Parts: sequence; C-alpha cells; structure tokens
Amino acid sequence: MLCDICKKREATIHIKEVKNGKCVSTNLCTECAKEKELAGGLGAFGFNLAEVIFNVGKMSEADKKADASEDKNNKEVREKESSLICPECGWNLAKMRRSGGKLGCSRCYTVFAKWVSMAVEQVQRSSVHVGKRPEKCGRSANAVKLEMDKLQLELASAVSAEEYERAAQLRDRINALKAEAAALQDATGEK
Amino acid sequence: MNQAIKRLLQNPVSFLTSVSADGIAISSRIRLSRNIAGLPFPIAATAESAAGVINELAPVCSRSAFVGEKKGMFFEIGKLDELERLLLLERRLASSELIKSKLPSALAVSNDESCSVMINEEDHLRIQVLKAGFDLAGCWQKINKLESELGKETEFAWDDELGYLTECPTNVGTGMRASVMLHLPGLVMTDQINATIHGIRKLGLAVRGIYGEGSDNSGKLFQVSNQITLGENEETIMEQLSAVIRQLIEYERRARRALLEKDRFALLDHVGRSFGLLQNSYKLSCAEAVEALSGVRFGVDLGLFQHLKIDTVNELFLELNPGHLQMRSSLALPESEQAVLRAKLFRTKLRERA
Ligand SMILES: [Zn+2]
Ligand SMILES: [Zn+2]
Repeated sequence: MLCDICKKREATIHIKEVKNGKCVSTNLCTECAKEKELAGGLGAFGFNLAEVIFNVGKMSEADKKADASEDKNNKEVREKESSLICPECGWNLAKMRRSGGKLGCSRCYTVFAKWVSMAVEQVQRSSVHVGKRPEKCGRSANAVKLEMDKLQLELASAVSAEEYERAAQLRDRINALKAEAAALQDATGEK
Repeated sequence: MNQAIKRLLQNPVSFLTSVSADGIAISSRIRLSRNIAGLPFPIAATAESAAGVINELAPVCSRSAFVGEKKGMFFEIGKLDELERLLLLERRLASSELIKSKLPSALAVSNDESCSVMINEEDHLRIQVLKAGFDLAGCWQKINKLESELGKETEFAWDDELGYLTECPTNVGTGMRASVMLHLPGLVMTDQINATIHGIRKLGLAVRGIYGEGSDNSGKLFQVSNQITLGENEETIMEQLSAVIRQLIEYERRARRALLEKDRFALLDHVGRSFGLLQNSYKLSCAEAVEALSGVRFGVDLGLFQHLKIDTVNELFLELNPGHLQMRSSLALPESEQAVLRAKLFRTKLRERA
C-alpha cells in the first residue's frame, strides 16, 4: 500500500480514527508521518489541517476515475491548479500538501486563496480578522461592520438584562465604530 | 559554557517559583506569531533570507525595553551546543522546532525569563510571555506592549481581511495561542480525566500533556489552549479559554474533595509512596521522577507536608530534566548515569524535609 501523502513510498504507519461516526483510515510512510507530526501532531489537536488538504487530494483521486466523462474545461482547470506556482517564493500545491497546509510567503495567501479559504473554513470561526492590528494599518470596512454587528447583539442583551452601565459603554463603542465606518466610506468613495 | 546560559542556570524561574503560583494552575502563557512583510516564511526560506531576518530583528530586539541589552540575553542557536539548547527548551524559552531548526535561528530572552522572542521558528517571530499561576490577563498586558514595541520598528506581514499572516493558516488572524498549564491529579485519580478532555476538545480547545506530544498523561500535567485565531479578538479568545479553565479548576477541586472523603487512604498511600520513592531511590528515570513528583505536589497542595514548599516542588520539575541535570554537572552523561544523578538530587533536596 502506498503512502496517502507522497503516493510514492510504501505506507508503514496505519492510523484509524472515528470521524463523524465513520471509521477513517490513513496510511503513511515513515517520512511523511514524521513531517505530519511536526506539522501539528497525530491527533494531538481536535483537527489536523493536513487532513483538510488530504481530502482535497482524495477528491481529485476519486475524480480521476471519472476522468473519462469529465468535460475538457474541468480538466484544464485541474491541470492549471496543479501547475500553480507562487511567483514570489516558488511554493506550489504539492509543497503545501506535504507540509501539512503551510504556505511559503504572504503572496501565497493570494495565489492559493482557494485552499486557504477551505482551511480557514474548517478551522476558524470566521474569515475576517477582528483583533489587534498594526498601528499603520487602518481597518477594513468589513471588519468594522462585523464588530459593530457583534456589539449590537451584546447591547441588546445588556439592555434586556438591565445592565445599563455596560449598555452605555457598548453604545459608546458602537458610536465610535460608526464614525470609523463613515470615515472609511468617505475614503473609498473619493478614490 | 556560554556566559548567558551560565546566567540562566543561576536564575530562579519566575514562572515556576513565584509565590503567586496556585496549586492547580501552574503557569500561563501567550504566544504571538508574526512575520516580516516581503520575506519568505521560514519553510520557504534560504539560508540567506533567514540570515536577513535575523539581521533585521536582532537590532530591534537589542533596543527593546523587555528583552533588549541589559534587560535580557540574546542567543544565536547555531552557536550553542546540544545541552545548552536542551536547557532553553526545558525552561520553555525555546520550542523544539527552534532548537532543531536547520536555518540560522536566534532567541531573545528577558532577564527574568518571562518574555522571549524566537526568531526563525515556524514564523519569523514567535513572541512569548510566561507567568506563574492563572494569569492570562497579565500575559496579554505584557505581550501586547512587547508586540507593539517590536511592530513600531518592523513591518509585519498583514492582510486587511485575514489579519496577521502566518506560515500555517491555523494561526492566521490574531496569531495568538494562549495556554494554561494545570496539575489535575484529582481528575486523573477519579477517572474523570478522559471525559473531561473529550469535553474540552468539543469546545474547540486543545489539550495536551506538557512533556511533548504522545506523553498525554505524564505527571498529570495538562496544557489547555485555544485553537481559533481568526474571527474573534484576543480578549474574547482569552475570555472563552478562561471560562473553561475556571470550570476545570472547580472540577479538580471537587474531585479532590471527593477523594479526601471517600478514598482517604488511597490518596495518602499515593502521596506517601511517591515521596518514599523520591527520597530513597538510587536510580530514577525522568518519567518515574515526574510521576512521583506529581504525587508529592498533590500532597503539598493538600497540606500534608509541613516543611516542603510548592516552590521547591515546582523547581524540581525543572531540575529533574536531562538538560538541567547534565548542565549542572557540566558533563554529557549517558541515561543510566543521569538516573543516578537524578536520584541523588531528590535524596538531598527531600532529606531535610521529611
Ligand atoms: Zn509518504
Ligand atoms: Zn509564496
């Protein structure tokens, strides 16, 4: 049996896990298992990013069988994807898969946006950052709106719980965000 | 021996021996991942680009109010021998990825060892703050300042939607991993630990043993951390983690009470045997010592020892490690001789406290 990751070396490690009620087995060669362990551990986390990438790999494997009936367009897309390469650092999908979903540089986030968003969807709570930001960088209108929505909900629950002091604080923060959003709108409108 | 390493060996470890250390929560840590804009991440780096990262960051670190000259130490990992690297790992200042890195890598550490900045780990920068007890808020306060300070002199890789860009998309956004190390002998001895870990994982948090992967249960020590880094701000992530930690501490207290009421002799036997083993052995493996010391720590928490302080126990958790043992004897020793040395350490430290 060949290794699920590199599909070259003989698989020596066989892992069985129960996922969504189904038994899933993964077969790895020693080298890839080592790499996978470094990339986040075998089952040390509740999820493993590498698996997100594996599934992508398996999907295309299954699709290969249906290759005959596949229209030419789809095939071209796939070929194009497998030859995708980051012009900045030379990263490609094979490297991404082998490293357990890692990227080579900031530019990779754009080049492999499709796979990044798949990974983000599996692992993260949403796809927009709302925390700390560099002093020099303003926030995107989207992030401001997202935080505003969240605070509105908190405000509603604070009011219904009659926590007026907290509600007042929330209202102030919402007003500040409104001003920020308006400023952002102006800035983009002027362009 | 490297001079700064020598200084480290003299240092009491603030995150382990500070008086604020709680019985159940041993220490808290926050780590932020950052990269320099425009340079390839370490996984795609060449030796040249990696050296460039160090050249850019070393002067920034040396001017830092936290880890700068006179405030801290700076290590080029490539110039340290294996034992010196092990020492940094055991003191939790460096990760195993950093000390094994094939690229030029470096580490800046504050004198009190509460702050460290790893250069060319999985990301260009891994900034970390460690504190004794359950104090994520304190960690955040400090690391927030340290990160801002470094960010003033360096442009971090950033995207308006995704936040801070990291080598692995599992860290993107805040780039923050917050964790608390807990000693949970009550939950282990009452057989509730597996269900508890399962429950915590279901909440989207990670639980691991602290002596690396696979050693899930060693010393009944566990590390609980957040997994989500994108879509919530740092305060919210910490609050969600803290809520779970508070609950865990409460469960552990309850389990301890139940043991004291229903199974008092089993508990006393466990603590007594652990102490006896440490006090009377002439050869102790690392795993054996960790297990027994965990039992003694439990006894200290429960007030069963009059003269043994929790600080001493916490410090022994560090001193029993192979790197520390060998550095103290300034010799690289085979495992069997380390076991003799380790046993001697415990016999001496515990003799006067019986
Ligand atoms: Zn393989
Ligand atoms: Zn790239």
